[in-house]
Amino acid sequence: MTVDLDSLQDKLATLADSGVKKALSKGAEEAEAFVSYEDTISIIIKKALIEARRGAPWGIGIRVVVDGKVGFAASSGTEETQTGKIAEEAVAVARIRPLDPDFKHLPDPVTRSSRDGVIDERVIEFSEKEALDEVSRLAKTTLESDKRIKSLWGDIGVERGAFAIANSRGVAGATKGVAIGAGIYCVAVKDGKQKTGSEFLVSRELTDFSEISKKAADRAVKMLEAKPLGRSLRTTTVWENTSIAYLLGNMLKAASNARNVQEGKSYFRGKIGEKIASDIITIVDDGQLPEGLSTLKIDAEGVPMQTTMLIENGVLKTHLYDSYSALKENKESSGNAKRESPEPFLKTPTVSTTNLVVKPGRKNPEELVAELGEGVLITDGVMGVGHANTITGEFSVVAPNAFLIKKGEIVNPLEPITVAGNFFHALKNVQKIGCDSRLLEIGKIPSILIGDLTVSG
Amino acid sequence: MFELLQYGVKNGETLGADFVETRFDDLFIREIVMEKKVVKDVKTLRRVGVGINTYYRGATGYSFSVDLSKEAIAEAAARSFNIAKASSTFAQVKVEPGAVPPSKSKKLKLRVAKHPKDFSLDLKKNLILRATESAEEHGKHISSITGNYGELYGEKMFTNSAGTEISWFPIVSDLRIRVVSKKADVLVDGADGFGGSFGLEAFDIGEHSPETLGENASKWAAEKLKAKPAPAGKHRALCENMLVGVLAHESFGHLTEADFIVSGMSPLAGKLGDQLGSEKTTIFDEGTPDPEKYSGFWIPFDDQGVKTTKVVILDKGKLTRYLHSRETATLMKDSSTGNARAVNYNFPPIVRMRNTYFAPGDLSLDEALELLGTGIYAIRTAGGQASADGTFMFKARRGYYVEHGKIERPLREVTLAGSILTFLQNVEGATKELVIRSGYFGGCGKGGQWPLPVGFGGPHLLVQQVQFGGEKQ
Repeated sequence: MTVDLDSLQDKLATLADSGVKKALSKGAEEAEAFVSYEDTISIIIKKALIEARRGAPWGIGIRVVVDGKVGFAASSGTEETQTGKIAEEAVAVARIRPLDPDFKHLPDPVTRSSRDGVIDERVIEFSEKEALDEVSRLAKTTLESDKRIKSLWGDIGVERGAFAIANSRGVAGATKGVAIGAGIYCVAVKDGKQKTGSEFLVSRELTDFSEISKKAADRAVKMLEAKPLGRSLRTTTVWENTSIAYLLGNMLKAASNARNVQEGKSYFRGKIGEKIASDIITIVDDGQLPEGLSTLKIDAEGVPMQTTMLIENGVLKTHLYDSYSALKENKESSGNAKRESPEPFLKTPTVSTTNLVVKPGRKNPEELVAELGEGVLITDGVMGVGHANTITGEFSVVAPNAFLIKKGEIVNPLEPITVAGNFFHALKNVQKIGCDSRLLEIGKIPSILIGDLTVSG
Repeated sequence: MFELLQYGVKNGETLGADFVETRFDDLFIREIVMEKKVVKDVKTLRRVGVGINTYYRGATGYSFSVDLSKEAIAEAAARSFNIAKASSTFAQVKVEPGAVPPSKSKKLKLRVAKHPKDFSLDLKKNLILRATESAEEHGKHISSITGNYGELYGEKMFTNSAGTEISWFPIVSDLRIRVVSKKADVLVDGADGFGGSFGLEAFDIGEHSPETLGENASKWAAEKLKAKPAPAGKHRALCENMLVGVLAHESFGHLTEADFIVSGMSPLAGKLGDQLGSEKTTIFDEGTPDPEKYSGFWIPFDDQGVKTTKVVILDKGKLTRYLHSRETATLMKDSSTGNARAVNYNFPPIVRMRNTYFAPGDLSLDEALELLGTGIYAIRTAGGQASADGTFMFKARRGYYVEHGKIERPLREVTLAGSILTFLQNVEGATKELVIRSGYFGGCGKGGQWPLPVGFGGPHLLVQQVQFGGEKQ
């Protein structure tokens, strides 16, 4: 039971087109319809308990302009009568919205060549049976890899889908994508001490996931020997690629967002052309990276995705735009409109980065540690990124899987430490970048060495 | 609709399923956000779909369809069956639906005087506007006011191989307001709100009117302008109803969910019968706390067709029961407690809480303050984190320093941290009033199924040796 993504795209495009017509017939001056479909397999294994799910959420979201005011409404399904009701709702919503003098109109068609990312047929054909097989094997090998591993949660997710968008100004497009990912979160126990470790892999292509088990188990087991840091100090930190990725992604997503810039909520406001990071930092927002998880032919408003130089040798080059923020500055959208998954049809577009690609350096992580001298190595996930202040850059995260480094060597694992500082100041303190770029949901990120952060525990 | 749902059940059975559960959700969501007096965002969405859960040889499989044609339901039943069948070859532990007496209960609903479906968006916008105007009138040095209105309602239906047929109408309305005041370098906030399974009539009453909510938020922000951060260290504390409710849910309740128990993730695995807390701690999880008295989330049946029971999780400090779905119950040789819930048709039901609260005690609030003597009175929560090992960190919305039984001065930056098991052991007393709240905003996010409305609450709890502070501003 595989999905033919091309004919799916065509079907969605037809639905989007009729959604626009319906909305215009309900009194909208301008209308836009977004229709998406994501065939999803999700298997979660809680030690031995399996939760298996497969299905495709799909539906339509309609944006309208009435008397210059914008309204939005959405629903699952795309039945004709239902679409009519949604269009009516959107019109009703528009009527209670205030007139926004910054809103010009819905996007105009943009001609720019762009294409879909890698579509691996093996991911399209990947069955629930194969998914179950994979995650069961991962769970088994994790438990068998060390007798101190007492429990685990594993998961595998497969998505293949498409969306289409049309509006009354002539935008009409569709795009498709696939992704597969698996992860293990496990608990190691010794003498009543309980430690956790995790590992995961995401890709657009069918991948060998077998490494995950051992890595997750190793991460947890290593921590059983953790000792408290016992003090608070300012020191140098090496962040493993997965550890820095979420913090870096969240911060850059907020700071580069042109809407935030315009509203005075961005650290990058007024800083284009300025040096905001150390010389070795070059970051591209690449919506056209073939293997990137966020790569699409068009963004959530139908604007072609593109490759945008964000930070070049430490200098901020631009902000990222959807059509609303672009029209406000009489610019063209950079193709960064996004509707969050799952069920993107229920969401209004916001500005988001696509694939953030940090230019790698030459050293592998071991060499970074060797050159660190004194400091800490942060591995695996960190907690508290969601509570960080993305406007000022202040953050304080807890790292449960960190290590003390002395004379360029790992001395011992540490009981959870708090790492705090200002992310945007830290960008200027990035001293080295690893060569170990890793494909993650937010892009391609290498390990990074940052000086002068507060570490306590 | 039941005919269509039974068609799904029959299709699964024909394929060879041991047991099939089919449910239908039609849920409407409306949300309005205002900043100062400007509408910032409006969400209006609807989720309609059918979910099918199939049991086959000790395994389950879940699928769903947003297309409500017979053909699409048959396909969903087949997908659900196929995934259960595939899963059965990998399952190392066998899950079964267990024996649950079939129920026939249709069109269950709360009596609501002003159902949100009958009122315009404009009227709801005006609720926020009234709260905002009241906040402006009573505030000091206001830098921003954010108002939120949210509602969720619709119909849920359920049927299964045993012939159970249930339908009910969930409902929740919620109004919130937050005021930020700023003077020189000091930035403080105050917030109030009211949410639960009720209609718009709830906001007609003085105590919960938009005017009162706005006034409170402003007042509570203003009084913090001169407040000092809570003194760091260990203090005796009086914890208010909603704060203890959040602890009951986030920090303790999750540890008693049987899926965490059977997978060995919870530190409470194997601890049934153990004395975990003091004699003063009793915790319930209940589906339908009296809607006349409390504003919890009203949920008469869970998403596996099991009537929601009132579960005593902790009885005078002793761990008495885990929370179960049909699967975890059969695995652990217990009966389902009616705790299987799914946020919408996209997901299978998993073990979730309903309304989780501490049982009241016998103290009046004055007596509790007197017993507190000198310490901190902490009220409601403004975010926090709880880990699987029972450690927690929560920020209280408000706090006061109490000396000799008298509320002396407001505090800001009131953060409680520690281990829930230590906290439970340190509970010295409880007041006699019980408050339960729920709402559209917030909600539980387990397993990516967010936001699921839950209720929580309790009395005021008097607790010794609570760790405060630790966070620098």
